[in-house]
Amino acid sequence: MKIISKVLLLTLVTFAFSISVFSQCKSFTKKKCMPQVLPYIHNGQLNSINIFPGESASLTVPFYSGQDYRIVVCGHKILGDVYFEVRNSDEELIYSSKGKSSTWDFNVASSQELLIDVIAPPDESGDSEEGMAQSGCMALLVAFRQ
Amino acid sequence: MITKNSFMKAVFFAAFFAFMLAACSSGGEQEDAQQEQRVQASEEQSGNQSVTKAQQVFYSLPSPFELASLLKHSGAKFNKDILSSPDKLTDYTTSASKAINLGIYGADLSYASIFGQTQDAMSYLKCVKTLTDELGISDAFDKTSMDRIEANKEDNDSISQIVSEAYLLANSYLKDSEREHTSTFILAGGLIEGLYIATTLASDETNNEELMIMVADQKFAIENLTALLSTYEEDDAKELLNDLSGLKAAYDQLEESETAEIIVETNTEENKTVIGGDDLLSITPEQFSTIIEKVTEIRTKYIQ
Repeated sequence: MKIISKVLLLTLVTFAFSISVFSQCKSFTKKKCMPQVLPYIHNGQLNSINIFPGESASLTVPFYSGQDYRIVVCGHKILGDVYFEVRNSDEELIYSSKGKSSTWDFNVASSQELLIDVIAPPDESGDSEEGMAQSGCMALLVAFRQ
Repeated sequence: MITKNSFMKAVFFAAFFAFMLAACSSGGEQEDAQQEQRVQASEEQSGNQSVTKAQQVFYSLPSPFELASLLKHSGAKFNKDILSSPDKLTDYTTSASKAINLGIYGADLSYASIFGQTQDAMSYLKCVKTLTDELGISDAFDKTSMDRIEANKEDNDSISQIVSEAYLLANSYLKDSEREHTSTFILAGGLIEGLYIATTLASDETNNEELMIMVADQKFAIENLTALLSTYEEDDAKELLNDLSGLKAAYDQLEESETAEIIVETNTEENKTVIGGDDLLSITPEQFSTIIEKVTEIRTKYIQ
């Protein structure tokens, strides 16, 4: 009986922890990333994930002619300097924010779909080899201006 | 007394059950799993650093305000008569119909707001508020948001910001509560209504080429929407995907220019980049007529 109780307790704690991590990511996005969107208008979609250093995620976004856009990337400090790369439908690199600002403003003169890779650079400190690698929240927001 | 061995067993079972729980319901995992398409991880060299490429692929759709903004840029006019009737609000009883019509009313709200039709915008805001409450996402339009909208109802930019924040909250809440497909229904409703408004206005205003191009450009959004919907197992998601299949087939007929060159120019003084080039998509009057027919068919089904 005691074993079952412990199993249930540990299960709940572990499960609650995993839910908490995802909620924290959303909270992080809203508090730390959303303010960078202004004065542009966010598209209302939350693209945030928990990711490990050295991993990436992709976002496929249609952009329309005549509109001004802003892309914002932000990540927890544990991930280092997260950045994004923008590619066209032929996967040709259009822009990389590596070593640059976390926001990029641009205008689209002809409508097209672009692929945005959001990248957390590998951890080169070697800290992760001594213990378990730590994940962090990374978010990419797309906003437009009327 | 619990031995070390039995404690380890407890830990093992706890981890196993937690894993199973997370796999079955996983607020965050499913949030991503249903919106993402897992792709084969491959190693890509990025400079000197090795990055594991694209664990997750998200699909983005234009927001109702973005579509309304495109309409305005295309030279469209405001026509109240083509919008969905607020009187139908009480007809929507299922979760799917509420979510899709929340998207539809949201698009009408955006259209009225961007064209400065404050009274109509407030009328649609009430519909949006009612449906968010009924879908259990009342936090999206809480008293504070409603008060802010009331105080800024003449300021289109403020309304856009507040409603976009509300969409974000709704999107986030639905993902947390494992109703990601409901979130996609809201976006789908917004896209269908945006397309319906654009196609109807383009038909009324003869030879409005800009509106026709705007309609053609939604090919990317329709592709993303169907890709997203295809990741859901729910019956209502499959039904909506099936309803959209004719529209997607119509869009598949549009010709995509293979020679269109993408030109990227950066004005370093203004720190502004322009991504240009020729139009990628072209649309014939026949293709446009088929799209009008398919959009009207889907919209009629869901607003009834």
